[in-house]
Amino acid sequence: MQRVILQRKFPAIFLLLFLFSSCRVSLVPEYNARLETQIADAAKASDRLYIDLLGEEPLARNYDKFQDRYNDLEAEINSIELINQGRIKNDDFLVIIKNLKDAFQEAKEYHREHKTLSNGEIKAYQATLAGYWKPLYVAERSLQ
Amino acid sequence: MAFDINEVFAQMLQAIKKTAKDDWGSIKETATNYFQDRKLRVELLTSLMLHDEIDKEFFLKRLADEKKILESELHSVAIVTKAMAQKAANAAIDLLQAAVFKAIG
Repeated sequence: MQRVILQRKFPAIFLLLFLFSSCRVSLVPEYNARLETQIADAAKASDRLYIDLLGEEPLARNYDKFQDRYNDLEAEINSIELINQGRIKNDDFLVIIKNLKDAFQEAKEYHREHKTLSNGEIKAYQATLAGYWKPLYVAERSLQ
Repeated sequence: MAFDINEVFAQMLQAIKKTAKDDWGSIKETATNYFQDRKLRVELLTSLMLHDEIDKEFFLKRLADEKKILESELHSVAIVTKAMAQKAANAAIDLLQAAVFKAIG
């Protein structure tokens, strides 16, 4: 009798196992520790770029001297965007990254066009770009 | 083993409440933090313009940035909130799963 009950239970147990295994709520991408580090490092490099610019005399702030660092940072942002494009539930992340990318490209283009930057412009860009990086970092950390 | 659906649902509700309560603090802190950052940035930009360190056109472009930063912050808070909801829902499902498996032995 007990054997019959067990035999009847098996399909139900397998059905429940199947239901529970597929019954996980997924609203955000999975946490990615490497991506969090990449974001933190790129945000730090962006901050460092403007700290170094401020440390130079105005005549030594020509765009050509800093072009490689701008390009490295732009490539990092593109890489972060690519990784996020491959994740599920990525809509919010892609908006944050697009805003950051547009702002960084504008800052880079402004320096290229004007050849140099004033102290005020450097301080403003440093603060503004930090404002664009933070929501991305906070969002990734919240997935832990 | 008896399966008391009311008891299980009550426990699920408690699991959701506990997770939400734990995470609500971090959402509030995040939003307050963003607000404080904005205040400091706008104060800096205003000071730079008033001291002629940046011109009006540059200042207005940075203020336009503030709108975009706010948009990013709202999406960031949305992610934090969704992550919280996901944790709460999965904690409740885990509880239901444990109760069901316990009942069927």
